Amino acid sequence: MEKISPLRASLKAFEQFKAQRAQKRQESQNPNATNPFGLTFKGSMIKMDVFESQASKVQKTEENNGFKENFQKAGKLAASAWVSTINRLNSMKQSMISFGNRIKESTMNTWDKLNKTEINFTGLFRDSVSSLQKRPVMELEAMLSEELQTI
Amino acid sequence: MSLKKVSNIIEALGRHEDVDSIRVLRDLGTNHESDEIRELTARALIKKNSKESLEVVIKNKGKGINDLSARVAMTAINELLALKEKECAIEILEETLNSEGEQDVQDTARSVKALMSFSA
Repeated sequence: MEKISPLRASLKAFEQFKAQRAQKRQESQNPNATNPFGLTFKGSMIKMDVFESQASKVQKTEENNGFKENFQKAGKLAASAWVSTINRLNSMKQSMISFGNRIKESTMNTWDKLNKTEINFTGLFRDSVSSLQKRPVMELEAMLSEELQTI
Repeated sequence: MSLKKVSNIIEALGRHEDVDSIRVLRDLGTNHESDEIRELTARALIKKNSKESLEVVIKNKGKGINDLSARVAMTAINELLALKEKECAIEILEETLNSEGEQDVQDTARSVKALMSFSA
């Protein structure tokens, strides 16, 4: 007969209490989970959500497959639309770039022409009748004889 | 461009106030070989509408209304008919008819005078 000291007895009681409390804490962490069969998987309790009926499972898989097919179809349509949009945007971008280049070239050409053009009004009214009329007859005679020789 | 300048000079001489411009037109314009120059000169002289200028195109053979080119002669006649004040021109035409000049010149003057009397 082992003699148990009051100190050791109280220690054992404390350990048992500690173990019970730890178990209760573990159960309280999963309040929605129930384990009617007491099954474990790799040391952790299996929840109630894991257990499903075969019929509901088939129905769910069918629903999932239909949804996946629809989603895949919609995805393909969206992808093709997106590709066509990208192509259209690329062609618009190219046409806008070429249009801008043409405008730029024409503007530069016009600018060059304007820079090279010299406007001179000095000789515009020199040979008009009104200005010739004011000159002396001798000068006009010389001009006329000179011009008639060129004809 | 050169003909345009010549046309401007002839027109300027026609409008010029100096009487010496008539001499220049007679010497250089009416004796030129080009019909176009002679035509321009005759028109300028008639537009002057002075006794000296009209005598050049009416009394002289081969000039103005007596030009060998029908185009020049017709232009001169038309210009005479277009004058607003025809008294001076009619007076010179009568002088030409009464003078002892060449028959061709007198015949032309008579015809032009008849036309001018009809158009007046």
